[in-house]
Amino acid sequence: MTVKVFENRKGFLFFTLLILAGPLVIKSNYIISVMILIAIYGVLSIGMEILMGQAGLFSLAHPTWFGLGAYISGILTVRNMFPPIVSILVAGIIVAIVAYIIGAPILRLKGFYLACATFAIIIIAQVAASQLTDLTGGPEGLVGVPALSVAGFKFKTDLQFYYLSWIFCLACYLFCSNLISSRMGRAIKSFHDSEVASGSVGINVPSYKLQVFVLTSAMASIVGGIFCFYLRFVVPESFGFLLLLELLMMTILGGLEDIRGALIGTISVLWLKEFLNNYLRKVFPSMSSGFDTIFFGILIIVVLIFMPRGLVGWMDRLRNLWEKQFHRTSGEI
Amino acid sequence: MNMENADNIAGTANFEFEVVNLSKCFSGIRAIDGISFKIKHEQVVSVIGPNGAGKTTLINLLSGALLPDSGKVFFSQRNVARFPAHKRVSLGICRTFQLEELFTSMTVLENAMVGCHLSGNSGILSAGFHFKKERKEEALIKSKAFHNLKLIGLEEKAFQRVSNLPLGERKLLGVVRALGTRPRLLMLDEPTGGLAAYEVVKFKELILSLLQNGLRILLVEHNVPFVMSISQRIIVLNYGRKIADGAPGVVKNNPEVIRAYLGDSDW
Repeated sequence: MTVKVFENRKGFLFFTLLILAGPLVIKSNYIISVMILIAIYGVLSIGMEILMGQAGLFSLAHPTWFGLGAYISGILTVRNMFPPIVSILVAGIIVAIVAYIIGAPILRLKGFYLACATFAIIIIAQVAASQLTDLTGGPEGLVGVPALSVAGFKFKTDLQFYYLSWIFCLACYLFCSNLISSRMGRAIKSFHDSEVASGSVGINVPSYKLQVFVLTSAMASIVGGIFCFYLRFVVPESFGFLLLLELLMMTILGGLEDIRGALIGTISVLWLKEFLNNYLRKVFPSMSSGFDTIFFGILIIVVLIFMPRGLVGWMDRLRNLWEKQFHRTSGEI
Repeated sequence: MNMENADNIAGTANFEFEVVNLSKCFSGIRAIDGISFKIKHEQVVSVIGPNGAGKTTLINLLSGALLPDSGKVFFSQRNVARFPAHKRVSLGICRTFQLEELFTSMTVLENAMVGCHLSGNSGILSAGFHFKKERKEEALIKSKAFHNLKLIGLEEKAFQRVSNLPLGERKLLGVVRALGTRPRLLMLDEPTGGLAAYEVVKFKELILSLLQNGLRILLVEHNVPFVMSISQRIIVLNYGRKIADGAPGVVKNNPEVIRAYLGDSDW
């Protein structure tokens, strides 16, 4: 166990250095902009991973918390109520409160019923965002969001957003991976296995469910705020069913059991999507947009059947093979 | 360790567990029908009865996995009948399960560590930021879990997956996990079900060794010789009602118990 944690730490450090040093080598604006999206969606899929993979809560409302964060921080800034950075934080707090109020009754539901109820939240939020024209700007979206500025420093270039979003993403990753290897993390995993047994050792299951739910929605909301200031506008379509599909794809392809899967899945899915949109469209010119959606729909099915542990499962298997090849023992599992 | 002993022995002095008129219906069927009993001095009290008599339902009601329709459960002068399960555990009522209900995605040690959940109180922030207090607590929980595993003799399997354990060891791990909560009353639900004869003997030794720490045990069991040899008192249920309550020797010769459960010896 100690060995594994150590290796994860090493891997995390290596990955962090790679991310921080990357822009020094790669100057392409295109790559940087995709990487920003990866960091933003990465926070969302870390949240989904904790909810579905660790706690076993099939909560699908994640796009809504992301969207609420973006809208609330956008609206607060556009109406000059708070400076941008404060409105991101205020949006985080508001969304946490909303998630608490909604989560307290809804988390009594289990499995499929929870999935249905949280899916309803997405639809309600979508309709509200396009109908409340005075507040949200309706289907055309919320425009006129000013640049993000913190104490006089203005975030203008993609490179600045790259560092902002990746630092937040890596911080969330570190926080969550600490969390799941702690006493609370074991409690969360335990009620995934057996709720009645968790109760029998003194774990307050409803309270832990609610804490995880609120934590992940606050994370999604804050990254939604960053997303809003990065694009400088917010439209309802960014937070709907398609985003949910992509998030599910990321967490499932990466591997639901392991938090590393969230980041690996996000990186693979977004780059695959870019590849499909850029190159395959040249090969099949008759296909218009939506090519990637078809592809990802099929991919979800294939991954679930043939690699239920996702890419992380493959990575671990490869490493085990490697270690066997060179007669290195990996210590305790 | 000395501290723990002192706690437990102090606990024995004012130990009082009382069930008053407990009832539970499942869609018209009275699974538990007005059961009352009191445990004060006995160390091992057993509940026996034919299949469907309501033994497991009784444990579910006493542990908080189910809430009763009516009736009271007093523990240390408090009515805990409507407390949620986790709150009863913090008061010292813990249980094991007939089908173990172990956390199968974890290792043996992790299962034992989840059992020690109440030994810590760090919240979400100190866990996420990995504060020093949390690290200390984690080390403490780990050593406690190891201690409990050693007590039962499972420490060599600490890093194995639960799914690799044979049935007997899974049952033992259920007890290890329950011991982590430092219970005063431990309810064992069919702990010897499916065990080989020599494993039953080992289990009996284990129970006797636990009693030295002042622990009280409520045992639900089908293995009559095992029950007779270990309990100071036996409660017999049939169709959700208590039909007999007393010392093993008395219960064994009760005609109603013989008719309902034990069977005629000259049958």
